[in-house]
Amino acid sequence: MQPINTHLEKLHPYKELLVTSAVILACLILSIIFPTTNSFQSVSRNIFFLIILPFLYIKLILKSRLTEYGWQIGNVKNGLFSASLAFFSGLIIFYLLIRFAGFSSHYHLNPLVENSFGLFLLYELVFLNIFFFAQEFFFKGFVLFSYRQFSYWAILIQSGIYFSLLGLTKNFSWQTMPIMFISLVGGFVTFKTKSFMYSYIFGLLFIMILDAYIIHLVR
Amino acid sequence: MKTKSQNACLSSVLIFMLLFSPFILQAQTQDVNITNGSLSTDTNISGVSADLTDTVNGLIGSSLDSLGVNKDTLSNAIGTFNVYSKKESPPQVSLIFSPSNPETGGSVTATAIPTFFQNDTKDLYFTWFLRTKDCDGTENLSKCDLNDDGRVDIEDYKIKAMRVIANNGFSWESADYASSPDGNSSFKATFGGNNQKGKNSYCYVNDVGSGVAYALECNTHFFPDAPHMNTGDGDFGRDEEKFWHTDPTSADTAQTGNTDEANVAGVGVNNFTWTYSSGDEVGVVVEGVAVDPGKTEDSSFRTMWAAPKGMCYKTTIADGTMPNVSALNDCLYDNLVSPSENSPSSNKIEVSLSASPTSPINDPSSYADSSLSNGDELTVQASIINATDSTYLQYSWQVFASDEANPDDWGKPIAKAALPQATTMEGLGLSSFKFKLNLPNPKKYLSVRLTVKETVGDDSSRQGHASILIPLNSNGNTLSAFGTTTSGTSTPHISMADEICTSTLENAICPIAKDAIVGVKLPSSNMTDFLWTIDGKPFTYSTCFFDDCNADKQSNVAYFPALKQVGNRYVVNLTATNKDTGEKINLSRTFQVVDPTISIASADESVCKPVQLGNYVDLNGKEWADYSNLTFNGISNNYIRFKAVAAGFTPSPSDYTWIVNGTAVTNDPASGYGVDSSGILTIPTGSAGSSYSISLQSTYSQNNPTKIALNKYWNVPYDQFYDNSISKSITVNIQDGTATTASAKSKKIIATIYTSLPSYLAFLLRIVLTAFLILFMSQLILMFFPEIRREE
Repeated sequence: MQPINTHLEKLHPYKELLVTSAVILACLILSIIFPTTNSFQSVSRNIFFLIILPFLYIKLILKSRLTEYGWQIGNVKNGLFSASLAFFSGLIIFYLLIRFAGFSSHYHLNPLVENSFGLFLLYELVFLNIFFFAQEFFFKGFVLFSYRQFSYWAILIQSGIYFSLLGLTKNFSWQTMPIMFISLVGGFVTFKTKSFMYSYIFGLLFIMILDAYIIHLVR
Repeated sequence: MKTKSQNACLSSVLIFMLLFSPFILQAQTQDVNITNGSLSTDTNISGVSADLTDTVNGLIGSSLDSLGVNKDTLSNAIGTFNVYSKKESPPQVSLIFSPSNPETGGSVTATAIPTFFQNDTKDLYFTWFLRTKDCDGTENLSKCDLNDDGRVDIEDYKIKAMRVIANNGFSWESADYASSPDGNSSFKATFGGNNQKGKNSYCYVNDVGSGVAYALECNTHFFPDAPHMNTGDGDFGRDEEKFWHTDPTSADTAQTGNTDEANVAGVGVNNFTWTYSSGDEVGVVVEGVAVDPGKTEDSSFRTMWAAPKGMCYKTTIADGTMPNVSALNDCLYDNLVSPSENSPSSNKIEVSLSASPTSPINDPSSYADSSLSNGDELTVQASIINATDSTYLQYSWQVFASDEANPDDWGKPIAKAALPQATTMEGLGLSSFKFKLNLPNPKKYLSVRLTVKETVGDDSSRQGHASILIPLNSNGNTLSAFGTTTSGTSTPHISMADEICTSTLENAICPIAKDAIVGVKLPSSNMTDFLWTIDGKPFTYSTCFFDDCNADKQSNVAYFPALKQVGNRYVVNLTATNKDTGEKINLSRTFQVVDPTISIASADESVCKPVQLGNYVDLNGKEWADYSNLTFNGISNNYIRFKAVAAGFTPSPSDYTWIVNGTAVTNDPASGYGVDSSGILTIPTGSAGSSYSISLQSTYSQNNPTKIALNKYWNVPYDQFYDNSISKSITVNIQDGTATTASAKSKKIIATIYTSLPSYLAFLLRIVLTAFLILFMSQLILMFFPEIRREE
């Protein structure tokens, strides 16, 4: 029987990866199950477990710089090009889905948002923005770059974790399809540019335009 | 040119020929040929030479010519005469069933209708035969071999049927056939029917193809026989009574007026009723004398038989010898028919449709909320005439649309989701179908199609189809109602004022005050041939008193006064024709005479609004606030404003009188009290806790020109005008302004934050502790690994 130190030595090259994976898992689970009593607490929960806790882990435990986790401008030229490509391809794909697959009848927005431009802006720029930024920071920043040693597979790993999360929470539907699309395509953009900022901006713009078009169709 | 002696000689020959030609022709009928309209023979007649024959033919031709007889016509007539005997119709029989689509266990009656028989129906012999499904073969001998001859054949089928006829429901199982007195149940049958007694028998069968009647040996009837006995032999003993299940104590068990043996022989039995089972087939063979008397030199006629599908003569003459009647028995197998086979239409359900209204109106404008629309509700009702059980009919409704009344292809049916408020379109018992006509892009015609199916018996089904064409009035036309103003006194002129009854509720039934003159108008300009009616009677005017009035014909405008008592209704109807398409429209509008009323409403709800009494929930589960119309709350130290809302009439602002705390309000800028030009009352409020009693008064009365018009155009007596005082009062309670102002909202938010703060701080504490726990654990785990350095 080998001594325990021998096992630890074998795991030594993967220690950071293993602990980080455990932290990712803990953050995800807590962002879902941590008890809240109102929507304000829900927002706080998401910010805490998807932004603040990963941030503290990177800075205090890993003692790394945030730039290593996508918090940087990165390659601007490359970023603008790939984000634009993803943006327009997304528009084309979802136009086809709306036109031929009845996407608009499965994708629903709050009636308040549909009927008031002010509330639409508030929803898109504040509420959606907060949730979306938290997701981008966590998945495209923390998760994707934690697995960067796997090269392009890291994109699939972060998307796979996100899809699994949707599946487990029974949110795998037409409603979440735009976010799924952004998860996959945005992951590619982030990996290429070493920055999740382009993915975040492209994703937010894409969802806003999609929501506006859906409102235009249903009204 | 012929000489006189030649003529005399030939004339003698001609006379001879004319005298004897019938006999010659009779003997040589089959040798006569017709060639180009002249008669010729293949053999010499009585030794006359060919030359003489030519001469005779020439003479006959000349004589016929001189008599003006057309030889071709004569030849055709003789040709027809020669084959006349083959054209005669042989006796026939047809079967009808009632009901035509029987169900297992139900009673069914087969009726034989004989034709081309000389006998009356009561003298014909009807031999019925019945083959049940389980007796279609030789396996079931114990059940089906009724005459115990070791096989199941047509004789057993005959016995099966004729037992039913002769027995007529008699409980034969309990009858004492051994000791019962022998009733006089016998019957002696004669060939050709019951009225041919004493005559010689000549039996024939007709070849339908050639028309030739072939002689048969009259050896037997088609009657079924009990074992070792004969039916129709004049002997019907106890054994036969028992075999046929007849009542031994009664000569006529079936109560047909004939004896039991005659009933077994089927004398006059042209109906056969039995309990139907799926797969039953029945047949009948009828014996009687044919209409064609035959050539025998006695009083007899040709005895012949008829079956529904004909008698198969060919099997009987195959050997070239004279066959007998019994050889035709095998023909009867081909004459078994089932009720459904014999009634082609029995598998069809007769469906008819009716629609109401017949020329409905489609309202495309309010499709988003069909309950608020003016479109008609189309009801299509199905009538099923011949359903076995209407409860179990399967209905399938479809709706098609087209711009043509009779297109080649109606295309795909309209989906149920596209038919507003459509009732169920497929299922049992859906004899009516309704939907609301709020089609957004309607065609000119709708076709409502119905398919009805019914399962009959074990596996079979019947179905029927019907469709109804519904011309759609889809131009969105509606009748608009207007208040009126009347001017002038000598010849009052009426013109339209503001449109009334535009709200959803009033659109359905428009309230109008008594004695009010109401204008109705069809706004569309491309219509013509107007016919206005009110309660079914046409509008009539003694003289023209409004714009667009035409003394000769009606226009798109009409006026009527509300002269009925309060609560009664008027139904105004307009029929018009579209100038472009010729399409006719039929519009109607309902008005109800009401007492004119006024109510007080807040003109500025930010400072004064009615007290909310509670909420009520409508049938759709939607919650509505219920406000008082008597008590209002106002804000202290402010200005509150009220307006008058009139129903049933349209008073001018000057017709209102506002009274506050018992004092009529006049414009007083100094005090803040006032009534502006649009009739809105403004009063300044005092401190919290004070209250105001506000009353509104008005008088409902028609002005003088209107009264003159009512009298002049509608003959309303001057002493019968409707004048009425109307008033409404409310109480306004003044409350502290700060409690109900906008600042209250911010205070509420602050209060919410204040009360929520402890729980949020607790939440934050929990979440921070959780986060630090995770960080601590991760640090702890990493510490297990020696020499932790990022460079590694």
